[in-house]
Amino acid sequence: MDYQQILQEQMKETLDADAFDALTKQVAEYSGGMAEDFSLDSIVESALNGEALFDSQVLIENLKLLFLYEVRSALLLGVQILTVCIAIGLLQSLGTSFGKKSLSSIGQLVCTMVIIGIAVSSFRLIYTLSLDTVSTMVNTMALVMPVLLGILVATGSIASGTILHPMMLGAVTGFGVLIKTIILPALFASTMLSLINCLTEKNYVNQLSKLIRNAAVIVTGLILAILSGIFSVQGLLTDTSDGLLINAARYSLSTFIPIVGGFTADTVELFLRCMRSIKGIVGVFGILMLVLLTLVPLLKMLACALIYKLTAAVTEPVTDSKIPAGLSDMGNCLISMTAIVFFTALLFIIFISIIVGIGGG
Amino acid sequence: MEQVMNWIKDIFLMILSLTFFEILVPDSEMEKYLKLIFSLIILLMILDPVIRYISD
Repeated sequence: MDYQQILQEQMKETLDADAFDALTKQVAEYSGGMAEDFSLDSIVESALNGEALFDSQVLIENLKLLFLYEVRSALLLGVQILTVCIAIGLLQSLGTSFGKKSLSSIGQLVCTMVIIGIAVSSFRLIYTLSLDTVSTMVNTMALVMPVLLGILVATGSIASGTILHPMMLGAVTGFGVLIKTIILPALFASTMLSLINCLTEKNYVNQLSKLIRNAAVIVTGLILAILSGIFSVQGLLTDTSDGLLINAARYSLSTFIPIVGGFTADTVELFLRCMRSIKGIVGVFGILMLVLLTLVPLLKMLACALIYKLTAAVTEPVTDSKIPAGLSDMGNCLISMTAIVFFTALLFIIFISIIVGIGGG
Repeated sequence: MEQVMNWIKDIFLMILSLTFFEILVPDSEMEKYLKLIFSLIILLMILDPVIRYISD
């Protein structure tokens, strides 16, 4: 019986394979076929044989295709906005030549409303996409974390497991709820305000919109820093006490039990080592799933932001109203939203790495 | 969050209607003063949550 068999048997006993398969399927749906190569078994195999997990050439090629596809599908939106903007330009020049100013101004106002309608409907889609992404990430964490923390206790890190478990699960759920109910809606509100600003010649709510956006980003960054700080320090502290416990147990096994004590200690050591490898594998699986989950939505959001910015640049010569500024602000909001979804993924990845790092990995 | 969304919606509608109104008003001496009054109304709309918080 070699170590590969031992490891696989231990994995079968500790992990709920069905739940992991279901998660892989869900992620595969989200990521457009990129997650199919990664399953728990393939990760185990490449970990045992020391192979590379990624084929970087294929990965980069896939990413490029995906981004171009997203840009192309968002291009229609830019063309629509550009058409209405040209209509506005026509109205402006015609309005001044006819002398009747109020009529053309109302026409412009209506056209601006149309642009706002187009922009908001597409922005709403992306907003719900980001909400969904955060929910799925929290679900993934809710599946992976208990397994990881259970294995953590099984490797002998009892203090780490019992102290970190409730704190981390609470932090993950709390952070998800905070992002979904406060931060992302605030960004949505900020976008709405910057679009309202397109309507008027004077700036009424420009600064308010910027204030809300900056506050959302800063609050998220602050919470991220505080949470990751607390957990890494806590992890370091409990890791020390656990290391003492394990060493004391091993030493007393091999010294105080005559004859068989040495063998027993070695067996326990092998068991702990295998458990640690399983922890590493589950951790890598969790991180991979998180990355794949966020990758496609992030690319989609960035592509849309690019289109907004591009449209803002292109429409500037046609209209001298405030539509380009509003569109550019919208692009900024979308980039902030992308950053916040990225922060959420980053926090969860940090959590998993802390757990994997405890007990020597 | 419901309240905040309502607040944003109120600001949106108010600015929209005031902009329409501003276009429809004929050019005259009174236009400047009207604009000032409109700005004050929007200021009140923006400060609405603060006013409510203080009065509670």
